[in-house]
Amino acid sequence: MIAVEPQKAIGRVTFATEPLAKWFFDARPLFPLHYEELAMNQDAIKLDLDASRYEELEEKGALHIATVRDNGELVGYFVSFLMPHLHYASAGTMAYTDMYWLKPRYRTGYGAKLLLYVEHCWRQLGCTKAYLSCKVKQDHTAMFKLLGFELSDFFFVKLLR
Amino acid sequence: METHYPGSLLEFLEGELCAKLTPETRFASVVEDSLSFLQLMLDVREKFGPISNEQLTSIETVGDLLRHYELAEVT
Repeated sequence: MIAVEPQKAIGRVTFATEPLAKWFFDARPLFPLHYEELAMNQDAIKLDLDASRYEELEEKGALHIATVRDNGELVGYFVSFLMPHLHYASAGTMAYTDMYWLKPRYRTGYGAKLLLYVEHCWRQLGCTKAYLSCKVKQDHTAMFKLLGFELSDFFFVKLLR
Repeated sequence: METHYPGSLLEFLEGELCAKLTPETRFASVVEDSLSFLQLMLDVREKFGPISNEQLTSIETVGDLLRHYELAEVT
């Protein structure tokens, strides 16, 4: 018989903006869970986060990391890139979603709160526009629309080798 | 503060969530998912008055929300 460890109650959940190093260290155990749940083409494309490129973006002020912690334990995150759009260079900083994930048991309101927190940060940082996406198999369209986002693109992928 | 709902905030929440609530009840324990939480909070905002997105992120319990609107009424 497998012993199941009882889940501790959800404690004090906080949202914060954190530096790459702190988030990356704590998020390492979560990345495989995130990857297994959401990444496509897992047979061909393995999880391999490029920490040095994230560092470069952070040094340029082009990285924003929002975290969700339960009594200090990392339970979710939202990573975005902040940079001008190549087509609209004079339009100011745009926020591009890189990735986000939340432990399943926290998907009872904390996902919405994380998005509200991230939008607040983007506004505080002076972003002009935000780009947000979700997987078709985990469709957040209704929530995004409630938050005021409008559907603008369909995004397709194809494995080439 | 303009209130469009004839009952109290607590009554409204209990009706929406079909549950008996106390100030200690955590929304995470009674809402189905993040979408439900967000919809509920937006309905609360529409019926009971302003609450910023930033303030919403710190609403953990029914009591947190009740306190927000009690304070809003005083000021």
